[in-house]
Amino acid sequence: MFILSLWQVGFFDAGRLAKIQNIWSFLAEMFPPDSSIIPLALSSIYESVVMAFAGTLMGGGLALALAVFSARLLAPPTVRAFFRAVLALIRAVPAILWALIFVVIAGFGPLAGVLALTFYTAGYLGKLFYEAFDSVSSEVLEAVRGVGASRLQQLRFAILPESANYILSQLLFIFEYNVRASSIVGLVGAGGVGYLILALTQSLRYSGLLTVVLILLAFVLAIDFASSRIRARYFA
Amino acid sequence: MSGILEAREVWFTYDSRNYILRNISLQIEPGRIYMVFGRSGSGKTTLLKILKGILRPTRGAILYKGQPTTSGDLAKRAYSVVGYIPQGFGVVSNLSVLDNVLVGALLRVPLLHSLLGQFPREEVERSEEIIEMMGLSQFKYQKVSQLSGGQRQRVAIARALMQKPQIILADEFVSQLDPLTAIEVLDVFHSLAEERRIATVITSHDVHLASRYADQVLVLRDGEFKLCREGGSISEPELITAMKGG
Repeated sequence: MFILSLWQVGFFDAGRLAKIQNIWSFLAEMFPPDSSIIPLALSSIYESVVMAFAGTLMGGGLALALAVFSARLLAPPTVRAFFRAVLALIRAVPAILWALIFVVIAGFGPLAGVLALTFYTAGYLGKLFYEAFDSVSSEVLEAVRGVGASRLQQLRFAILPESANYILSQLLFIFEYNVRASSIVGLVGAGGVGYLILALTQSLRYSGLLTVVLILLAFVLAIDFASSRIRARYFA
Repeated sequence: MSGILEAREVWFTYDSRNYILRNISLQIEPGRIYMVFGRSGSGKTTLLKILKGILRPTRGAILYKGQPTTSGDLAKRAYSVVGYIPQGFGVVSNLSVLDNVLVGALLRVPLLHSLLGQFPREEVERSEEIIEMMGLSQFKYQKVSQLSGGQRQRVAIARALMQKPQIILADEFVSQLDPLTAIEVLDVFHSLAEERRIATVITSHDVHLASRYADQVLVLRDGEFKLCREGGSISEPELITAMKGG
């Protein structure tokens, strides 16, 4: 089956693999990295990080609202079935497609990217959040219900506090992801460093591309490291 | 003496075949401590959930001050005077001690104010008094997750007291505590019964505590009360025999 799959995708097509030599000329053109592009790369990466931050917060807020209506403990069956379907629909659309949709609606630039990341984040986190809400200890809920708390009060005084660590941990995780995803959505014109990568690739400025990729790699590693330390320290 | 809450000929089943409770009758009077003993699966937790109104009896009735709690208003009133402490205490670990105790006042606070965390001054003062009474003042702003088992239990009692209850139902309350802490906690219930006339129903399988604290001892086996006696009139071997059967 594995061999068949490789054959199906053209892995054994000698003609195609012969082009592998192109990689050497591609790599040769990348060196030495072009330092003149550093200021532009930094501002583009900064824009990507800002997009990721805004998209994470807006998407997280939207996810919380959708999760409330999708949780078994908070919403009646028909309401939660509807909102769970909405979340599934949002999740079914990849981030780059959201970016294309919002480039059409809002035009080229970071706004489209932020909106794309917002929707992608909402779909992904919405599911995780409602699952977290539904796994809150039934004893805690019974005790809070037992004092006569309404559903909103149960949410405020039992479900949200009990899920808070998980919610914050997932927000940090999706922020890491969104920093990387913001480069991808930029490829279709939705702002950030992806837009710069696209421009450099199309104009064959590979030495500049290497500079951008190296700086981006350093940023992503630094954010991953900080995020994993925060999660391990506060949310383990 | 008249009962505040009464279970009258209560039967309960989840599947209409296997009855978890069979013909249970119990009258709860002010200021008395009831200890319900039974092995795991004997129906103790189900009985408390029915008394609290979390579960509805399949047959029979729960009466509040002699009236069946079938009408919405009466059920709600009965609901509000019964404090319930589940087996794992049901405290919210990510909230402070003060916030956990204030949860007990939710029924008296307007919805919007409670959602914004704005509790009336008198409720905050009352919760602080209860926290002090429970010996938790130094932990008032500490998260419950940072407290010991005994301290969490006191938070659960404080929250129940914040409801201004006439009855407290405590499920397997002393099973998870070391003997010394269990005695401290039961002393709290004893003084609540004497000073505030709060009735307490405690389920347990620790028979040692029965003679010292219970005004009434009940043994639940296979969903039925097999024994119902005044606290001081029963020995440990009798109690164990009643729990085991045979």
